[in-house]
Amino acid sequence: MIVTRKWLEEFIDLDGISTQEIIDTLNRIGQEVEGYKKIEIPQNVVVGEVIECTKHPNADKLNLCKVNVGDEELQIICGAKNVAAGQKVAVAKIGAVLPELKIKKAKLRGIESFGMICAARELGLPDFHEGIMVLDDSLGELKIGEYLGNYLNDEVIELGVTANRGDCFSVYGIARELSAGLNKPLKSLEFKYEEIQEGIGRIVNIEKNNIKKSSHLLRAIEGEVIVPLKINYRLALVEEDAKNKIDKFIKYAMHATGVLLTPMNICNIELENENGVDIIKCFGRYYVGIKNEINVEENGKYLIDANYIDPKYVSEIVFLNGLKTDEYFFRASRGSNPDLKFGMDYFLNEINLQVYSGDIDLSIELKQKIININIKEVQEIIGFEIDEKSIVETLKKLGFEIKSITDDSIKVAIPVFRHDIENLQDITEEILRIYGIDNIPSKPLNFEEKNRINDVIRKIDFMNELRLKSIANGFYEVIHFIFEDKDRLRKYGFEVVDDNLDLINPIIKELDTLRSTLLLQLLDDIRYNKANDYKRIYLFSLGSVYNKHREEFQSLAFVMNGFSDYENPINHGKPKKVEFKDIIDKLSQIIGDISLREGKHPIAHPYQCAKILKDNEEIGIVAKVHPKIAKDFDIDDTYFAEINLNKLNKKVKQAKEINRFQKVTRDLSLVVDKEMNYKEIYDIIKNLNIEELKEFYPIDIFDLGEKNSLTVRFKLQGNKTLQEKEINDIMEKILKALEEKGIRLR
Amino acid sequence: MDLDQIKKAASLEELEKIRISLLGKNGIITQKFKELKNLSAEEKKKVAKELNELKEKAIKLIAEKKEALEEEILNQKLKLERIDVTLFNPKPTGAIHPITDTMNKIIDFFTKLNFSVEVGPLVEDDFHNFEALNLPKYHPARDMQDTFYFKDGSLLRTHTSPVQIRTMLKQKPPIRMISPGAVFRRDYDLTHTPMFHQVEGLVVDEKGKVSFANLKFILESFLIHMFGDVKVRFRPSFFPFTEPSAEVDISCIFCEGKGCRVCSQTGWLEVLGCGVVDPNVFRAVGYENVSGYAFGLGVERFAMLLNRINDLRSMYEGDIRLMEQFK
Repeated sequence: MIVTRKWLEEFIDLDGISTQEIIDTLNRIGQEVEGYKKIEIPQNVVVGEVIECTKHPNADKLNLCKVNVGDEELQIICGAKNVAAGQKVAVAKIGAVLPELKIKKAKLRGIESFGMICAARELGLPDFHEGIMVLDDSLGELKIGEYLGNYLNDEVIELGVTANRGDCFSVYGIARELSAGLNKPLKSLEFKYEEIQEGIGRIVNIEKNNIKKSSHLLRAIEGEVIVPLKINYRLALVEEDAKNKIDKFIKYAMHATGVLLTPMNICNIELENENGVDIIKCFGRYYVGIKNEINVEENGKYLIDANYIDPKYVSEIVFLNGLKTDEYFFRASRGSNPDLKFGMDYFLNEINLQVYSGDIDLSIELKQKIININIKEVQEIIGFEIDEKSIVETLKKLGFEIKSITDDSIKVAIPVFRHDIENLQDITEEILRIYGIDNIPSKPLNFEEKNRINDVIRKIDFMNELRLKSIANGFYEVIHFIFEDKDRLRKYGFEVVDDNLDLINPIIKELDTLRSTLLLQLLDDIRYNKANDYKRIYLFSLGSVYNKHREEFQSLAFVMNGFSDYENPINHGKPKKVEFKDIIDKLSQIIGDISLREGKHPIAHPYQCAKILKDNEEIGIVAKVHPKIAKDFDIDDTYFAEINLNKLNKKVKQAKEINRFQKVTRDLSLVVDKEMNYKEIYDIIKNLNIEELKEFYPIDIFDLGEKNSLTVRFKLQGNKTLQEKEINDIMEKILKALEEKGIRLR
Repeated sequence: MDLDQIKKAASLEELEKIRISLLGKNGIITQKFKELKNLSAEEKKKVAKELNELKEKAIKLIAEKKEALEEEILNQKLKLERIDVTLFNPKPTGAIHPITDTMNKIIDFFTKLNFSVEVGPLVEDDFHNFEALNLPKYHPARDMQDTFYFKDGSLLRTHTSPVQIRTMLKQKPPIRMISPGAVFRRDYDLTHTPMFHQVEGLVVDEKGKVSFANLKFILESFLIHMFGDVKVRFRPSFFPFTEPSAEVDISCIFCEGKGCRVCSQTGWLEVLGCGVVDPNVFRAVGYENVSGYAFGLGVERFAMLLNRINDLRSMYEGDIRLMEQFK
């Protein structure tokens, strides 16, 4: 909602009040000021009168004008088509500094020019007309030679009116708020217009009247519509568009008063109700408070309908019938001004045409809501003892009618324009905002102590622990939208949300479904960062993913690309590239003890892919990106892991007693098949359940031609110091078990 | 006799030779001890004393010299091990995302003040996201939140407020909670992303207990905790689920309230929305005779202000150029 200071001054006396004070007051009482602009005409721009206007002798498109600027007559060359003798115009005299131009004496096609006749745009005003700006008396009686700013200077205030305050979608509404905020009365306005003897009933017939929900006040007018500068200028300042001349006055009066006004040509109108929607038919249809589809011809005879409909009702009916709407609905659904006579009179006063006497009044009486306010409750909600007197004063300022006062309660009648006030808390808000939140001291709450540590915060702490470990291992955290491209997910073989559960209105095609993996977004990031010359890219992400049933899971994913170290003199500027082992190491640093099994994954290298097991449960996948997919993403060797966080929990560890006897190390070098997984050997040994065998792990592998040599290291420890014989017995037992499966010592 | 030669020894080998020449089996001093037997008893006593002193002196000098030579050798060795420490320019990587970091700071403040943390699903239904929050289907305020819908009528939550509803339906008052998390609106331009993060707060207790003044206290404390020495301003506003409602501004942290580009010359930055819980919300969850306040904030907004990030969208681009600044 945009208002200007001068327009506000039509309704409230603001003498001696600075615009800053107005802005502060509006903010303080809940009318957020979102923008402010001072309109100031440059100095040396004055009102001039074109006395003579002839063609420039040497140029077809230029006019040679004599312009009276009060103390002198200036010869000015003007290129505008619309300039004519007798016009009052804006003249920038020599020395005037316009936004884009400094006015100097000039010679145009051999003839001197001593100034410029200006268009609004050239003075830094909105561009609202063709040619030069022709002045008139609508902004005050023009005096030749007077500084133009005395007529046109203004200040524009843009407000973010909240959706509940339909009564503030007008200059008058804002003036009413200021009146409460500044404790100044509103001006009482007098409207003047010429009424002719002929009554409206002579030219307008109501053919049918079935309307049910809306109020109407109709008047007829006649004459040629002339739009003065004030209307054009202010509509431009408040950024209102209009279709034609009559519409300009309609928009102007609606913006000023907040009353819905609908123009029509003179006709025999039908008022209907179809499916609950009130409709006026007259060369088209006006769906009351919803949409205006009436065509108006500028034929000099008009019927104006000031109307009102209950905002709740119109919102519901539009929702239920799924109706298309326009600006009328915007005003009506938020609550337009029900004072139809005020809106009509303001309009008639401005348009200044002949008015047929009498009106057609089809008003429904609006019931005033009465609310009983318990003062103690108001005080409790606010948390401060505002006294009864202040409460009464505040309510009066806002136009609330005090019906009765007792010791502990006040009965108030709510003005009909305040659709938003329905209960005690609404009234408390009114009291609070006018009394001033600043005047309420803050107060700590006394509350009962309670253990509020729950699984949610435990999970958050655990996730943060994982994050900290990830960053200590060199990974940057990235966050992405939970949206993905469904086609892309399908293309790479990922699960997708079932079509009948998917988004109806995605914002773009690339974000048309919920993601089932974090990985594709991370691969995008690698490409993005590679393009910015990063050579070691470690990223992780933690967020929600969805399966085909649209069930939410928390996922943790890592990607590693490029160097395993930064370039430095030790590695001669050529760090080793990241390998499978690197991501495994990082993972175990971050999520603890894990083991791996051969796995499969849609975007993985078929022979470098593993399921991740923790405590014997599969929790995720780790792999190298398949080279074909890497190529699709325009990236080189990349490793990834994705873990289902729902399966990863923080467990309390149980310590065992420390074994203080000496540990013995033995190595066995075995001849194994090339296709064989170490896991097979591991299982054979593990299944022997040798108590003294504390751990064993592969330490070397090399090629023997047809077979491989695999060296395994064994750590033995008993509940006493082991004797050589005991050690040998254990090793024999292991070897024997292996030999049974065809694995022999090298 | 010349003990000075000990001091002149240039190496451990030379020193050993000198030691042998003095104290070895056939060393000069050893020899002299052997000659003692030829002296009279009285002279023997005197010379022996001198000899012992000489021997002790030699041993001491040799030991000292040995230590000095060894020290020198070690120093030589260490010198060879010199490295140019200035060559080491470690390049650490890894950082927590500013959104996460900011969210954690916010959670930290409220949990330390005995708020619980609650979460809810991102895919919500109309009841929890709108209806129960005093946003009936035809309410014009629904326009404020352009919503993503699913084919089965579900939607992506447009705010974290449905978690309030879920928590109130699950628990009995008193409630003191915050709910952090991702929210979604169908809007994508310079200053809007279709996903962003909020933290919502709710306090509910007996009727008459929780007031707007309490809300003012907690939010003033919170904002000063987050932004340091700032002024806090409450402006009355409107939210369907609170009444009275307010928006909260802090004095601009860039210009200290003098007016700059970031605060659009106003000297204030809007950071929060809040209010006293609307009775219709309590009615929707079946609470009677209670009072409460609620507040909500955008995490991205806080992160941008705290970390001086200019471009909202840059936080969702996985850009190391941004992230490496938070190492």
